[in-house]
Amino acid sequence: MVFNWIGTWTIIKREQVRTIKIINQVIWPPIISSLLYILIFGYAVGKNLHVGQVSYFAFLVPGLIMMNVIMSAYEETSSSVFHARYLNYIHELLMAPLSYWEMIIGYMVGSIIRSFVIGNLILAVFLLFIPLNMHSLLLYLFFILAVSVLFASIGLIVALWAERFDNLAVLNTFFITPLLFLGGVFTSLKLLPEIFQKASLFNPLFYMIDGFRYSMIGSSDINPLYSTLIITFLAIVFFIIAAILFKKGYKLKV
Amino acid sequence: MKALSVQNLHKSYGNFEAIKGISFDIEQGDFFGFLGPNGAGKTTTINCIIGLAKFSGSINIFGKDIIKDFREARRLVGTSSQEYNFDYFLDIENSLLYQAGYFGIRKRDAQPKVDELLKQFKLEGKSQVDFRKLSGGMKRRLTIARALVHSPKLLILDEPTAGVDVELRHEIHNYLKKLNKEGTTILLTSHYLDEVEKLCNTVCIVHHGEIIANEPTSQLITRLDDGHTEILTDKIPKPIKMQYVEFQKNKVIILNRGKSQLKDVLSYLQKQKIKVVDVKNVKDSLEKIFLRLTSNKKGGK
Repeated sequence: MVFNWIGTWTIIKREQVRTIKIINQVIWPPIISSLLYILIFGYAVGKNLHVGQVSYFAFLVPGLIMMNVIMSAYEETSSSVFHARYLNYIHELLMAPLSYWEMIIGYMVGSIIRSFVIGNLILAVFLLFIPLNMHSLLLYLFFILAVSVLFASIGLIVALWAERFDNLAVLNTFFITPLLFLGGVFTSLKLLPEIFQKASLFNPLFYMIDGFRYSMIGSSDINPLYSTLIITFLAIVFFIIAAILFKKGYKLKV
Repeated sequence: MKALSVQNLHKSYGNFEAIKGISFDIEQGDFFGFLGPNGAGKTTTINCIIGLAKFSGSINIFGKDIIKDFREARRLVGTSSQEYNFDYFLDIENSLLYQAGYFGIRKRDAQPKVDELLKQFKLEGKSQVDFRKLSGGMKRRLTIARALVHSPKLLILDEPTAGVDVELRHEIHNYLKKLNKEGTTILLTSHYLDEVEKLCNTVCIVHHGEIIANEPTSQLITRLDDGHTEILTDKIPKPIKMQYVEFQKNKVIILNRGKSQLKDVLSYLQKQKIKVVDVKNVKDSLEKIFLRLTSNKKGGK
């Protein structure tokens, strides 16, 4: 057997079983919070606002989708793999005829599926309220895929590094959330003071949100080609780091 | 054919050398007892064999190197671990089906085996139950069932009867004997030495990361037997000084080391016109031998 397809598929299936079992923790909260953001910021506060050519509502939607794609991809792998490590049931995989590639692909695809489901569920819910543009479906799918791969990889790395459950929240609290809010989920870069505009160029999450927004509304703060290249590069780098750690059995094999 | 071949296995944790270059083989079809006190290195050795620990040395399962041919090697082994490491998100039936899936077996192909195992281990009414809700005995049975789901040729059981009641222990023994008879090679670790003596054809004792005995169970017991012969007499004989012989009222005890003196003792009793009522051979149990071996080596070299 060159590739244990059934084993890999079993990991993917298992990740979906997990998602369904904790649906109240992982599926409904991002949808409800996105609806609340839209209600408060898009409707109550920004009803008559426009950002460039588009309404604030239409501007906000891609940012909210991308924010939840990032969170979901990260939480899925970090939480699932750490839990399995913490309670030692990851041994079931380590004892099976599964290569490290197969394990990574299994977890990664599981995470990508969850991100796609959440991203598109949020989109579907918004479509009930307002017609939205889809400037480039290909770019829309690319951004969700590439960002999911990137954050699923980061999630895997953190899951291996973490020693306690609260370690998983470190990245979320101190990096992902601040960088998301400063990365243009709610505002265009052009509306920020110049110093923040320059600082944002060092914020990788800005490129994800800006590029993804381009795929939907057709306009962006910077050329989407740059965003595409930067995200592809980061996704490859972090995927390789995660793969190396798994291959070495870092904190998996004593 | 060797079911398992461990050669020059070393394993260290920092400066602590847990396994100090041990080598042993298990022949196909053997029921192999792997013994040692807590912390001797049994579970560490098992973890190396099943891919949970890094090591130096070489390990082959039915001739397949567990690093180079890891897929073939792992498919041949099933392990029932000491701890209950079950997936929290799967019920009992799915625990077994998913385990089969990880081993590359489709659900439809695994289902008959899973049904058979659930029935065999009296868990069929619990298939939709979360494993945390099972009793200790049921969890233990499920752990063994999971090890068998892909029909391994080598079954590794790390304390499979720890914490189970006598009745269940007997059931497990009978099932393991049946499996072994049908051709499954078994490596068993246990702290119940009567169980090992009863089940295992070969015994390997590891202590402080080294092997201190490895031979057929009966041979080990015979070789290290420090038992004695008891002679019951109708009257109390007058004690005399003889090496390895003790006089205790109407009982004469000849240690095995002094067995050659049996003839002298009998003729002494005959001279005194004392009749022999009964002669008993008292053998050492594996437990006694184990304790003697491991206490002699206390503290290592």
